[in-house]
Amino acid sequence: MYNLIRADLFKLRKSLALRIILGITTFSAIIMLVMAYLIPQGKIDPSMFGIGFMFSDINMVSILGAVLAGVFISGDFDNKMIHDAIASGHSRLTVIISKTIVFFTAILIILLPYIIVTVIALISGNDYDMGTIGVALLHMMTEDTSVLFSASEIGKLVIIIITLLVVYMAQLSICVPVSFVFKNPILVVAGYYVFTILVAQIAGLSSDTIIYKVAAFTPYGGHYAFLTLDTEIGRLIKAVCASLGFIILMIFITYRAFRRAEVK
Amino acid sequence: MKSYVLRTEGLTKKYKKVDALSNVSIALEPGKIYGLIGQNGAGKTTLMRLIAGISYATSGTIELFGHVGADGADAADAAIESGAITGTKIDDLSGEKALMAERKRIGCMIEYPSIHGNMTAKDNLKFHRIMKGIPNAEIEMELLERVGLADTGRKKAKDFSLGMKQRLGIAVSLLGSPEILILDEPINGLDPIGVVEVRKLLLRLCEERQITILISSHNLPELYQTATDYIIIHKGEIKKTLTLKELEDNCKRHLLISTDEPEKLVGVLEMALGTSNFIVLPNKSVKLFDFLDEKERISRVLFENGIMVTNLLYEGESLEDYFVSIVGGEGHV
Repeated sequence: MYNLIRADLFKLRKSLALRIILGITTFSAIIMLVMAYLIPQGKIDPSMFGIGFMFSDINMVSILGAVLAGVFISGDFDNKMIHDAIASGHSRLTVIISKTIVFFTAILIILLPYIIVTVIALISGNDYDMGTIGVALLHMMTEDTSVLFSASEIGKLVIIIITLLVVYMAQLSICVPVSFVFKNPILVVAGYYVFTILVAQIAGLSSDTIIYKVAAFTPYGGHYAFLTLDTEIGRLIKAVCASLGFIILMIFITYRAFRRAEVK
Repeated sequence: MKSYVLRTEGLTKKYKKVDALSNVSIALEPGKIYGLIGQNGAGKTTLMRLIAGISYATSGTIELFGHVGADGADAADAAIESGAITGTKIDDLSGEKALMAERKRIGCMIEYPSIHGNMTAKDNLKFHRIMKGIPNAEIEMELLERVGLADTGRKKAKDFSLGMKQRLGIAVSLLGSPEILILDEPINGLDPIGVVEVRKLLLRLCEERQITILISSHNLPELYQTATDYIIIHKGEIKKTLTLKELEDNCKRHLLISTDEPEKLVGVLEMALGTSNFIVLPNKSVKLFDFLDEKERISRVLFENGIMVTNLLYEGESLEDYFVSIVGGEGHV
C-alpha cells in the first residue's frame, strides 16, 4: 500500500487538475475573506451574502472535492492505472484504501487556502461577518472573531480545524464508492452536488426529529460543520467518531462493490 | 519433467449467459514466445485479463509459478476473505493470495497502455516504478532508450503518436524485470521500423532473460517471425496449440498426392524415387516435400509404376491459411 500511496502522491504532484483547483480555492478563499471583512464595514451590501457563500469553503469543496474524486479515482480507470495496480499484485482493498488516502490528501491541499485565511482572520482581531450562511471554516471565521488567542486556544483552534477537515473528508468519502462503481467523473460531481443540497436540509431540522438524530451518526448531521472555539470537546469527539465510522463504512461498501467487479 | 510458469485449467468466463472463454487449458514454458491468435471477440483479451487478475474466471484455475489460485470467482472471494491467511512468505499464503503475490512477476499491457497523458514518458515510468516498489531510478532511462523514447524530453504522453504510446506501454510492462510478459496487440499503430524494433526487443528479452511472452496480434506474418509457439483461440475455445516447427511442417510447401493405393504409393516413393521426405495424412493422402519442381517426373514415375493418381497438386499454407483452416474455413472468419 505504501508504494501505491507514494506513486499516487507523485501523480498528484504532477497533476495539472490539482493545480487548477488549488488556484480556484486560493482565489475563492481570498474573495471570501475580503467579502466577510468588507460587509460589516458597510463597504459591500449585505445582500451580497449569497455571492459570498458561493466562494465559501463548503460550497467550493462540495463541487471541487467531487471533481478531485472524479479525476483521481474515476480517471484512473480511464488511463488504466487501477488495472495496472491490480495486475502488479496489489489487492483491490489496498487499491481502494490507498486511493481514499490520496483523495483525502488532495482535499487537504485544496482546503489549505481556506485554513490559512481563516487563521489569518482569527488572529487579526478584525470583525468578519457573512450573516447566517457561514458553514465550516467560514462559520468559524464569523463566529470567533475578536477572540484573544492564548496558547490553549491556539491548541483548540488546531483541534477544531483538524476536526472540520475530518468531517469534510468523511462527507466527501461518499464519492469513493460512487467513483469506483460508476467510473464516471461527471456522475460523481453532479451526484455529489445534488446530494449535498439534499443533506443541507438536515441542518434546518429540529434536534428532536428522528432524521436529525440518525444523521448525527453521519458527518452530515449533528451540526458537525458548525464548530467554533466554544464547541464542547464531547461534540468534537462525536464529530470525529461519526466521520471516521462513515469513512470506514464507505470503504467497506466500495470493497463489497468492487471486489468482484470487472475492471474496465 | 517440463516446468511451466503459467498454466490454466478449465478456465471459463461467462458474461451473463455468453461464454467468453470456455474450458481453456494452456501451459506456458519459460523462455518461449507464445503467439495468441484469434479473431476479434475470440477471447484473447479476456484470457489475458483473467491471468492479470483484472477479471475473475467463472470457473477453472490459474497457476502462476507453481501457485494455484482458487477455482472460480466465488472460491477466490472466500479465499481472500478467509481469516486463515497469516503468513507473509508466498509459500505460507493461501492460493489466491499467493497468486496475487506472484503477479508481481508479470508485466502486462492489455488493450491499451497504462499511461497518464499529462505526464512525460519518464514521469510515467517513474510513477509505475514507485508503484511497483522498484528503488532503482536508472531503470527509467534505460527502458526509454530500449524502446526508443529517450529523446522525448518534456513532451507529454497525450501528445505522443499511437506508436509512441505503445512503446511507452511496453517500457512500463518491462519495469521490474518480469518473468512473464503479457502483450495485447503491442504492435498496433507502430510504423514498420517500430514493428521490427519491438520484434527484436522481444526476441532479445526471451533469449537473454528467458522471459516467457504471451503476445496477441492480428498481424499474423509478424507473429510468424516472432513467436516460438502458437495458441489458436476461436469463440472462446482453444482450437490448437503448436510449436513453430509444427506450424512450419503444416504450412510447408509440398506436393499433395492422392490415390486409391496409398501403401503402393509409399513404396514407389521410397523405391523408385528414393525419398522418405513425405508424410501420410489421416485421409491417406501423401504430402511430399521433395521434387517440388519436378511434378511431371513424379506423375510419370507414378504412372509407370501403375499407380492411379486421383489428385496431384501443389500446396503450401501461410499462417493465415492455416489459421482459417483451423477455425473451420472462411465461413467462420
